[in-house]
Amino acid sequence: MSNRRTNPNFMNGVPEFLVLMLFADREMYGYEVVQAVRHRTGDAIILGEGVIYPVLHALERDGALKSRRRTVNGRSRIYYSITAKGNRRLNDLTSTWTKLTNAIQNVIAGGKHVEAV
Amino acid sequence: MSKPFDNLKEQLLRAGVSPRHVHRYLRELTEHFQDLVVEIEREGHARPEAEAMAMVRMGRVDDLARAMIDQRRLQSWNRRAPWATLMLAPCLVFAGIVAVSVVLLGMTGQALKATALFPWFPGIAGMVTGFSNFILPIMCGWGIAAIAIRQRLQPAWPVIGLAAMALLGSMTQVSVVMPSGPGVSGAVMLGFSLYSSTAFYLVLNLALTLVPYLAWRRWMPVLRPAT
Repeated sequence: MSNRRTNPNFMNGVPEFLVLMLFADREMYGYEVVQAVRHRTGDAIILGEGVIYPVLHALERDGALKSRRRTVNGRSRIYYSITAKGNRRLNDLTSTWTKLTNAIQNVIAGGKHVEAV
Repeated sequence: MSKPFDNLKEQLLRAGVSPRHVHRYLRELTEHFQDLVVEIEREGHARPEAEAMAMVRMGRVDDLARAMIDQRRLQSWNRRAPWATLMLAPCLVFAGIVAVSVVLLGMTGQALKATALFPWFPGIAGMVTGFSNFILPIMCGWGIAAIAIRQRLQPAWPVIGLAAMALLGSMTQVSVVMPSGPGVSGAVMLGFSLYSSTAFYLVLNLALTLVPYLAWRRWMPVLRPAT
């Protein structure tokens, strides 16, 4: 019997991947993250905007993000930024998603055998 | 408009999400909501309309709650291991503080013996024994009750923790035998047993910790089971 891990649920990890990808550029607060997701995905992925925060909290808890409170234009906000651990996780996720999208692309193109993700 | 996320706090606390994350989540949601209202108003919508549209974009309250509850890593330790946080940890804290008090008292007495018997030493010794025997178990009990109330915990583990704390406190006794004169040894003693006073202190401790906790649960609407 194969001991390969099965593919994760397709939508599992999507918000996490997107969030880490966005934080690779700069630190942001939640509202900016949601706007950036909408902008970068061409509105293809529209989240209930509030559900981004549990993802941010969980990533921070795992050490992939860190947060700090900053006051900008008189408003205090919690800004998040990526850590070294988060960057490693982003690299892993990028690799996985690249293989997965290539695999799907190949299936669409005609069923070529591809390496398991 | 009333605060849009009023119901969410109770929902999350009852589900066992850590209060630290709950408060931060609510604050971030409120700030996000305000940003959205401003953005939509800039597009030319009136305030009430902007608020309604912003709420739609935020997501349904049930979905916001579910997203947080599904992150098991954000559950509080009091929900994940109540036996540890509400029973074991308070008992260890109590035992630790009593042990440190006894050691410090013994070391102070030992140091003073070499010189002279200071007149304030019996007063200090009395305060330390009083604190260890009466006050500390009650303070630990209040701590357990406060955590249970703050996190909307079901009563089983808090009650077990309070009972264990009361029993431990009433069976632990610190006492000091003062030296009869300069150069004569006294003694600092720590005992753990059933004393003639144990039942009295047990009842007293329960009356001052468990009874107020149960009364609070009975009369505070926020702690009643959700209907």
